[in-house]
Amino acid sequence: MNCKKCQKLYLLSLDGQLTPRQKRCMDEHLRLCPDCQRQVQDIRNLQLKLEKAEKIFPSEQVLQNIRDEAYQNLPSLEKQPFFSFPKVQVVLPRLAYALAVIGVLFFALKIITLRWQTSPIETLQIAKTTGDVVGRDFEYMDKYFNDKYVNKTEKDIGEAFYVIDETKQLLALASKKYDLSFYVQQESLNDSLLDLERRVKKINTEIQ
Amino acid sequence: MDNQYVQNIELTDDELVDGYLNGDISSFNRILGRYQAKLFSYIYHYTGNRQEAEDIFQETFYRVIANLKFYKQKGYFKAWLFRIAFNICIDHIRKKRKVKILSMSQQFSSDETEEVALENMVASDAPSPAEIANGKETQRLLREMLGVLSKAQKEVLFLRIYAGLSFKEISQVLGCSINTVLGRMQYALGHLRNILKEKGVIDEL
Repeated sequence: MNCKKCQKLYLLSLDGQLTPRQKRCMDEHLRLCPDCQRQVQDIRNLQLKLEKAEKIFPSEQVLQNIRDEAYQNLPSLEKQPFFSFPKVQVVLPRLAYALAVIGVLFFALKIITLRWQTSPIETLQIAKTTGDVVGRDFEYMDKYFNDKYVNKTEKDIGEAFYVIDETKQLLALASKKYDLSFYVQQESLNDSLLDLERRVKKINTEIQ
Repeated sequence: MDNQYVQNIELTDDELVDGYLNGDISSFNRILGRYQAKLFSYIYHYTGNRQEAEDIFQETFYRVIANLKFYKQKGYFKAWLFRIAFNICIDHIRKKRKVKILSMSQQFSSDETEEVALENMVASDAPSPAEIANGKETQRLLREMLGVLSKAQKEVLFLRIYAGLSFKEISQVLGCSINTVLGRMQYALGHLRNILKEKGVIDEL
């Protein structure tokens, strides 16, 4: 936790948006860093002063114009006279049919792409080129290995170890890069990575 | 009694939108009442001119009325409303800049950025009603100091102090990440703080 992150977390805390873990991190840093204590105090004072800015209202004429416009466009008023059944009956079933077909195709495609998602090795290659490990990718990796353990071949286990080691290195690299959202994910990623490693080791000993 | 009780219940924005879409005009008036001060303060400080601010305010709500039936992002009405207002403000400043460059080409060099145009408007010499009304030193200074901030920082600062949006809502309005918003706010506050200290206005800081 550096000072910049701490101050960002402080701003976020004004909206009550911190997770307990983030709040703990912030409080801990604040306790140890007199510079940040001063900065946070300044931010608080400045915000209080700025927020005193007086509210200004538009003129009554403008408000009345808007009310009139809203009244003229009141949804239920404009619909009723134009309601004609014959047209709707021809168009609607076809439209509904077309929509249904598109919907089914869409879901089929989604399922197929889910099944054929990139393997952990490929994900790793991509992560290596961009230097980022994203939580979503990792969750998928976790699931992928779980499915694969049904076979429990030595090759799969080897692959799992390889990916886990490489991911660890990437995490260490990525954590040096400054990014608040990543920082938040980082610890939980580390946890689940260790968890995965434990499980793979257990299965490995079972096989042997 | 019953009626009064119903009146006092705090309905959410989405419930009021649904109410209006189902033909209840009072729902709309309550939305208008809920946001008129914040939205107008925000637009006013963005443009720095009351007449322009009223035009933009009216235009914003006209667009809201026309597009309310397409509003599908349940729970994000506030961000949606301010995004519409923000876009109109941007358009307005672009148009105004073009007119200025055309009519006063001597004073405005062609490579003048949008940022400078915005700055000129915000930091115009005419005192704002807020200044006349409560003539507070900090208010006047704030206006003076805004010239130091970048356009992006001003956008965040205005949405925060005049519109009273949360950082999450600001990120939705501006279409950038919450991390970016926090960074800009951090720099904006840092700048203001340094200037106030330099001028010795806020010794207690």
